Amino acid sequence: MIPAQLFGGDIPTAGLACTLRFVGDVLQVDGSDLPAVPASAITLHKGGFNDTGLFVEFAIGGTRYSALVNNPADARRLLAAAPPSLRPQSGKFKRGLGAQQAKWAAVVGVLVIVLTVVVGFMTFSRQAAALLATQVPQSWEEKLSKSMLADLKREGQIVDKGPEIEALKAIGPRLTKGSRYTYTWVVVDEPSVNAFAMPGGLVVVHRGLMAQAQSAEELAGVLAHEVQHVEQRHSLQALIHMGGWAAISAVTLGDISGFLAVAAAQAGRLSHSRDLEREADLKGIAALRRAEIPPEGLERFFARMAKDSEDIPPELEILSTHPNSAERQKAIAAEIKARPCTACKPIALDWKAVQAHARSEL
Amino acid sequence: MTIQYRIAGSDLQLVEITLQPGEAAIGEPGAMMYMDESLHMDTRLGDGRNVGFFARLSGAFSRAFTGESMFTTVVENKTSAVTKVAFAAQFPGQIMAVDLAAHGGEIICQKGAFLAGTRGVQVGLAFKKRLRVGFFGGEGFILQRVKGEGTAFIHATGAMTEHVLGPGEALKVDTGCLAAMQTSTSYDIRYVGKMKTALFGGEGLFFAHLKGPGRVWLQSLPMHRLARGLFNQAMMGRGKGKLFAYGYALFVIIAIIIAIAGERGGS
Repeated sequence: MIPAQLFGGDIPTAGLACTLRFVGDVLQVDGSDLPAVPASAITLHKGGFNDTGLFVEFAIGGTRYSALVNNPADARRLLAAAPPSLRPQSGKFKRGLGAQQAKWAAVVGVLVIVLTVVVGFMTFSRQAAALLATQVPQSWEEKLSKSMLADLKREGQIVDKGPEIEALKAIGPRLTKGSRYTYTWVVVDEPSVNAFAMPGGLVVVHRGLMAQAQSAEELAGVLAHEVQHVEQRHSLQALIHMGGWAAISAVTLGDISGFLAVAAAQAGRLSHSRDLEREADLKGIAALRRAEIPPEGLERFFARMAKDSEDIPPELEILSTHPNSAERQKAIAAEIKARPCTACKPIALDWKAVQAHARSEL
Repeated sequence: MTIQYRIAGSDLQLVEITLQPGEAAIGEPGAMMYMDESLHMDTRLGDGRNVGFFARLSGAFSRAFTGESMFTTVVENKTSAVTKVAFAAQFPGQIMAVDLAAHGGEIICQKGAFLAGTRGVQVGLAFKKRLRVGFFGGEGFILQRVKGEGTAFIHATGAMTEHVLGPGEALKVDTGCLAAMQTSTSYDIRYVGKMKTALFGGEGLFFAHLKGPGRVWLQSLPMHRLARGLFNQAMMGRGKGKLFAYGYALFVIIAIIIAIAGERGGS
């Protein structure tokens, strides 16, 4: 006894509630005054707004009738009792239901996959960027260094004689033993306290930094940090990471103007950049230990930076590429304390002379 | 007892509902045109029914997807006299009264079709589960399911006609011209036939195919076609419009060139 709505003939548009059942080879429509309908006169099809309704259609005395079973479960029950002559049509209905469900499952599945990829990328973006960075050929990285060196030469600020560059060339190679890159050490006549490294092995130190550093170990600390940026391919990782984020943001946020994509990419970049800086600090300390240079120099440098310069307040750190100096100093101090370096010896260099020279030239 | 009403107007219509003492009417916010002095208008979240807050809230969300506001205007006759309230359509078209009980308790309408009704009429979400119909049928995937007890007044642009389709009887309808239908009616799409017709017939690649049993309401001019016609006239109707459009485009191009040149010069 399957509930259904009967339509046709003089029945009002709302339909007539009735029940259907197959008795042998005929269909009984209880609740209406229709006679039993032989199976041979019945056609079955799928329809209704939801496309999941079973229509049992037949004609009696020239008038067409249609009984609609709305619920698919009810429809299956009714068809289970249907006579064999209706099997082909019944099969077609059931297959149609299945096909519809499969199509929607596929659509939902695709959406879930896309979502997983996006979320996966967002979670593992760092590791993915690091992995991709290792695939970039070394020659490409070296091109960047060569190009920057050419720019610096053109700008005419390179200091190629004097105690500063001698000190750099004495300390630098100790930190780069066994590296796959060939390093170029450069001092530029800039008063700001800065140093940076390009992918491929160019390390540039500003005169201002040499004037600020109180010992050779401090300079060594900064150099170790910069060398690690090159060794770990941080610039490439950052580029890949930012590119990935921009692409993901544009795809998920669907923002054609790209404003949101750029903003999201920037936010991602900054946090990633801070992670890379922290990595450079910690790996730099390891490199110093290997070179038997006391790592305390780096710590003292940051302690002074935190005290002196206008530093980023902790609250605004989220907008900065570097972690806040006080935080860096604490992290470095903890790392040094955890693994003290017994074999480390102070660098044999007349730092006072270097610093004095740098200060005088500025 | 079905509510008394009168639909007035020819191409721009309004429906005036007569409220007996205790009866109430609901309508789209902003649709109320006039009402008797003794009536008060109340705005409620959801359908205006007296159900719990969360039921109303979830109802409000599903309404919002179907082109209705999350709120409903409720006008209740708390007096002992017979009063009237009128709701007006907001664009050229016709209003049809649908007695829900006479159509199986619910009908499926296109987005935004619901205008007003007796209290108790609910507007919910109807999702067309066939991908090709959703994409090419002219109505999209999301339609309105108007159900409940009482009368619903639906509105659509253009002139409206009703057809009662018997079992197996079918109509081929221009995509977008379907305004409302009974749930027992099958709604599918069919390819127009020949490529020549598809390209030059002006009807697009597909027809909507409506197969009975059930009643369907069709509109002669879908809103987007009306809007496009008006817009085209506004832009191209007079020579000035075209010139203005080209001039503006030229201005934008020049501005971009200047911006790029400026950046290159500066770097």
